[in-house]
Amino acid sequence: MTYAISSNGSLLQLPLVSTFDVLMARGLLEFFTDTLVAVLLLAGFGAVGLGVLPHNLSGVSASVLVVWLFGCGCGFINAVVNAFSKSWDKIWVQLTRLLYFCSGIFYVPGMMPDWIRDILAWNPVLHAVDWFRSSFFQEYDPHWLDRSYLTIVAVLTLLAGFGLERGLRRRLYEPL
Amino acid sequence: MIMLDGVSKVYRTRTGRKTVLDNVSVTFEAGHNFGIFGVNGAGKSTLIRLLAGSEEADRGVIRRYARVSFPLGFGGTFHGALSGSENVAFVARIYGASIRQAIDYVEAFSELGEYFTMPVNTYSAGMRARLAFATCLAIDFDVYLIDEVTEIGDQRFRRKCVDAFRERMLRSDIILVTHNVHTLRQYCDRGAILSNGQLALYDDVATALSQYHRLVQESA
Repeated sequence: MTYAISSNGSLLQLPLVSTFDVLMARGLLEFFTDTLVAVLLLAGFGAVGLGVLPHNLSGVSASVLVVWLFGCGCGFINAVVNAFSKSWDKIWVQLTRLLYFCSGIFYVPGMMPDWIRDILAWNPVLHAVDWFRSSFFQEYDPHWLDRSYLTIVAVLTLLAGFGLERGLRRRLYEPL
Repeated sequence: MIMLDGVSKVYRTRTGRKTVLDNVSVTFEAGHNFGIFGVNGAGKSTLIRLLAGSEEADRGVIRRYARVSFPLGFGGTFHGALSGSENVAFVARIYGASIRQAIDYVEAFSELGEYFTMPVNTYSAGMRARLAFATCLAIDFDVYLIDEVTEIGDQRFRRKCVDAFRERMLRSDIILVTHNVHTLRQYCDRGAILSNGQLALYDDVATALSQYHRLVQESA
């Protein structure tokens, strides 16, 4: 989504196409692409005989949806910031790398010392990963998981992104 | 009819702020074809984009009591990775026109041949202009906004464009930016001059032209 505006500059010449449209379209495209990839991967695992069905499908869907909203919010903010500072995307890559490392994908939060987990629990991505995990595996029940924290962060991020896009829309792209 | 009510537009360049419109209130009446004059850098292309709605004004309101086209200019309104026909389909879809008819019309009019199904990235500037021209004509607009792209293609293709526009002008209006006086006289019956943030409308092209020449001499 960071590049949605710059890569669609010519379409934005059409009065009916706004920056909001291209950003939202890119967000939806990412959602469908990643969902399709996930389904294909899981189907592949299923084909070789691994158990792939989540025990709580609605929980999985809810977590994916909230993470997507959070991602859209970040995407809107990034697209706006990137329009003003061209190297922001490089910094963002490093930042997200940090967030990934600290989201308990390599070390399950349950194996961490309490004080480290208390710090890392500020990372919304950690809650996203554990929400997904706990809906997938019945025996996984992290007591530190706070679904409402992630939801609130996602909604606030999305509102901030929408607000930035609306407020600065006129300056988001240079006419050709 | 397009009404501007207290419209201001400033854009920022490296060298500072540039005022294109400063509290302008004018009306482009229906039934007339306007030619817009202005020295280079006065903001004629920005004005066209404002009229189209591709850009928002900083202040004021622009009311369009007509179906206004997208700005037809060298900038291009097409996605480079999509083919000509896919782009036409997209434009037809968002304007609610028949996709099949639009594609058939553009394919025949633009004379792009096999390039029509190839990505727009591979087009020359002239081919893009032909595609844009044909796409704009494929959709029935009340007002066509044209930004210096009347001189495209060879003699024969230009003639075809003139004929097509002549025919369309029986029911639609155009607002045209060009430096070519001959083109202006050919299409327009009214003139407008954009300078120093003000937009002055004139009831005939000759008056507008003489005013414009005076302006150019004063500034020279």
